[in-house]
This record gives sequence, structure tokens and C-alpha cells, in this order.
Amino acid sequence: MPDEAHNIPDEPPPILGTWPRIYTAVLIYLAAIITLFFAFTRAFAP
Amino acid sequence: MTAIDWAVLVAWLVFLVSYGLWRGRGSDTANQFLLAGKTMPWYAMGLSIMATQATAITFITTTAQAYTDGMRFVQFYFGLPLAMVILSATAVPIFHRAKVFTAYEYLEKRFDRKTRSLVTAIFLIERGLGSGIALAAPAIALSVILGWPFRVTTIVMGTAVILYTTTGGIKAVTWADVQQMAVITASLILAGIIAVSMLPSDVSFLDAVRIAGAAGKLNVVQTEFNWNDRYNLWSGLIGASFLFLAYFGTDQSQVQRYLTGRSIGQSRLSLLFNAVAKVPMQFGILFIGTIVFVFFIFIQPPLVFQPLAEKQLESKTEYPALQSRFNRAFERRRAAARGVIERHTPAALAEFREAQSQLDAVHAEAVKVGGEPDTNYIFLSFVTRYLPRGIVGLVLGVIFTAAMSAISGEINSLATVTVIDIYRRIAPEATDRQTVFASRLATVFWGAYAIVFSALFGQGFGTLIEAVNQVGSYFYGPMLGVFFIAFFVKRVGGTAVFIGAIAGELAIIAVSRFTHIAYLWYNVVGAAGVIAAALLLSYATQRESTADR
Repeated sequence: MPDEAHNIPDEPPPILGTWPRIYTAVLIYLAAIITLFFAFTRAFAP
Repeated sequence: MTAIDWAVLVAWLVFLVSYGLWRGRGSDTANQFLLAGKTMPWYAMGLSIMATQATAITFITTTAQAYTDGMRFVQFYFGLPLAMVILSATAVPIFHRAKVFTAYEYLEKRFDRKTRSLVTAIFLIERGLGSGIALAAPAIALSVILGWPFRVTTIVMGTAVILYTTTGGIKAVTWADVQQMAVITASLILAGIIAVSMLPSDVSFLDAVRIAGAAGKLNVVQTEFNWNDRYNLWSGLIGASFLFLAYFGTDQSQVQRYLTGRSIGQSRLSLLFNAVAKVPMQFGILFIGTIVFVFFIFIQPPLVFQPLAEKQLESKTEYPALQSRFNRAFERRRAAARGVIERHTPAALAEFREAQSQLDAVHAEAVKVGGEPDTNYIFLSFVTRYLPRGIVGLVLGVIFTAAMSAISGEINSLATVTVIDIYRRIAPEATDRQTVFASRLATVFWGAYAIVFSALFGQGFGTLIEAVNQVGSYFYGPMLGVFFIAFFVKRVGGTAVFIGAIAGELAIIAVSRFTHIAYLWYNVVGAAGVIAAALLLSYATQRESTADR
């Protein structure tokens, strides 16, 4: 089988130091964006 | 379309195919052809994942969905960031470290051949059907707008895709996707700006938003829980999460994208990029749909948006009366909208909503007489009638290539699964060169299959498209259940998970047959069915073997 596969390195994320911190940031972002959309919906509800 | 628009459209198509061919050069080993030599940076993978999802139908139907149903469809994407986080932490490192070409190859390592074969068969059936539809659906709309015969449109799109996908493999597909996403984003922003700028001078942007709100189009978040409602906060966060987990974690068309990453970290970043960018992007597309809705409050839309149905309608005896009622309803709604801007009173709002209902009723009647649904032509109609010269060609070119991007990803993944999960098992001693040749042949086969399927059956898809969009939910749940067991429940073996997959599928069939639960929940039912059945079977057989001893 093809032979160019090499060991795949893991590496730290470019920001925030660890991957769990990045995941937490993404989930906070999701919560923030849903809150923002909810406020938008309420502000322009008929 | 003017000559300038044709020139822009053709130039864009030629550029894209040439660029794909150029970037895909050097794909002459299986690892290069199928996994781009594992050299891809995160942004290329991330944009490619986004482009594969952003099909032509996304642009045509998502904007139309906002026009008719409001922006609540964006809730469907709330599950995506959750799924991306889970997959980044689990599937990405597992697949990378297993050094597999396909997700299904991993299943044989973890379970056995029959489980791998079952999931491979599910993928080929589901994605094979999807590739025909992915080609047919936009080809129908574009052929009507461009005035080309449907089969010519299908063949042009299909052949262009086969050309660069066969030559350059996944590297060509990925880099072509990057270009497409850049132009897709730019042209969408441009279309939005132009739509806003074409509103009457006395209607401000905020007025437009207020009118869209008054019409109930800005229903972005709906918190009421209802099993039968397709799009609300809960079906998005829970049901869609399962769909996205399955789509990005078990569907080779997506898994193959992040397997091309040069490291686990790069692959994770490509998924997390989508987690962050996708929801605002869908919000933007839906918002353009609502702006088009407001635009057509002040600029009279055609009686029906489908050009052929419009011509048919004009030849009917009912036409003059319908057109006259439509004109009156349009004028009433326009006046009512101005009332909403000027007064903001409940009475003004009530008058606007009544005028809107009246217009909707006349439009629905016209669509019935015209004999063709016109929802998919709302955005195309706006583009071709009102955008400036050159921009029309660009936007149509983008829709064209959005379709090509989705198809190229699909036939590339179908070819990969055919070669790795079928051919390599029949011919385990095949050389690297033979594997590449088989991959190219499989790409041509699946491309030709998509063209023939689309050309033969595409025009009968009117209502089938909706059904096929739901087909994924029939299969993804059980696939997700199988991979969940593979990743997290080490004591469950191949036979238990194989029977569990069949039980999960039966559970979905039962739910769809005997309840009215919205299809997004099928993913949850299927995955839970597989996990429960496999765990029970595993427990029962282990108890039996302990008792025998």
C-alpha cells in the first residue's frame, strides 16, 4: 500500500495553549451567537 | 444575459477548471491522489469542507427559504459547532493515528469485514444517489435561467468536474474549493449590498429590517419545543448535532477532507474554522433572502418566478384576472409597508400582515395555474432581472461552480471508497500505480454515473429533492452509532454492532412510518438504536459465554 504515510504529529493550538481551552472558547462563542440571535429575534418580532 | 455576463460566466468556469488542473499536478501516487500526500494546511481543508456543503441548492433554496419561511433555518446549524468540537477531540486523532484512507477501513481494524462492508454499502448507496441529485437539482434551475437544454447543462457541469477531479484527485478538488469559497463569499456580499442599495431612497436599511420583522421573516431563534417542528432551537442543538456528527464523522466525503491534513492540529483547526464561520455564513445567506423579500415589496415581482411557468400562465384564460388581482394586492402591501415604516402602530402592522396574506393567496393561485413550483427561482429571478451586467454572470458562475464543488467532493469520495474498500480487498497485491489508475477509473465511473443518472431521471425530481435531502437522516444515525461503539465501547464486537446497525435502521423506519417526528430526530433514534441493541447483544452473549464456562 502507499508508503508515503508518515507519523502524524499532534501539536498545540496556535492560541490559548491547549485544545480543551479552544473547545471551550468555541462553545462560549456558540452560546454568545445564539444569545445575540435571540435578542435580534425579540427586537424585530412582529 | 448580456454578452458581458456570458464572458464572465465562461471565463470563471475555464479559470476554475484550469486552476484545479494546475493545483492537482503531481498527484501520481495513491497517497497524493487520495490524501494529497497529507500536506494540506487547515484553511484549505476548512474552506473545502465549507464549499462541499455550500452547494448550488444552498444558494437557491436557502435564500428562498428566508423569503417564504423566514430565517429560522439558521437554527439547523446550531448543532454544527458542538459536533465539530466533539469530532476534533475524538474522530480526528483516531482516524489520523489509524493511518487509514477511508473511515470504513478503520471499522475492519476495529471490528470485522462484514461491519466494514455494511457501512461501505450504506455510504455508496446514499452518496451515489446524492451525487445524481447534486448534479440534477441545480442543472434544472440553471438550464431554465440560461435557456440551455437540461441535459446540456448536466453534461457541461459533470464533464468539467470529471476533468479536474480525475487528473488531480483530492488536491485539485480542495484547491478549486478554496477559490470557489472566496468568490462565493465575495459575490454573496455583493448581491446583499446591491439588494440593499436598490431599495427606494426613502427606505433605509433599518426600515427594511423592520419590515422583514413585521412580516415574521426574522424568526431566527424559536425556543418552543415541538417534536414535529423541523427547525427550532432544540432540534438544531440536539437533532442537528447528531446529523453533523454523523456527516463529518462518518461520511467519507467529509472525513477524507480532514485526513489530508499535515497534522492532527491542522485537521482540528479546519473543523473548528467551520464551527466558527458556518453559522454567521448561513445567517448572511438567509438575511440576503429577507432583503430580497423586502426588495420585492417595493419593486413588483413577477406573478410567478419560474420563467417557463410564467409563459404558460400568460397563455391561460385566468391570467388577466390573476395579474390584475396581483397588481392590486402588491399596491396594497406596498402602501401597508410604508405605513409600518411611518407609524409602527399595531393597526399598521395588522394591515401589513393582511395585505401580505392577500398577496400570498394570489401568488399561490397563480403557481397552481402555472403548474410549476417557483420557490427555487426567487433568488435566480432577482439576480437575472436586477443585478448589474457582469455581476449576473459572476453570480450564476458561482452557483454553477458551487454545484461542481459539491459533486467533485462526492465523486472523489465515492471513488476513494470504491478503490480502498472494494478494489484493494479484491486485489490486495495491486501496486501503487495500479491503485492510482483504479482511482482515476473509479472517478470517471462515478462522474459518468452522476451525469447519466441526472440526465435520465433529473427532471422528474421536483418533489424527490426534498425526499432525498432526508435520505441522509435515514442512514446517518446508524452509521454514527457504529462509529460511537467503535471509538468508545471497546468490549462490543463486530457481530453485535452489525446486528445493532440493522436494529437502528429498523427503529428509524418504524419512527418514520408510525410517527410524525421531524426527520432531524431520526439521527438520534438511529444512533441510540444501534448503541442500545449492540450493548444488549454484547451483554447477553458475554453472560452466555460466562455461564457456559
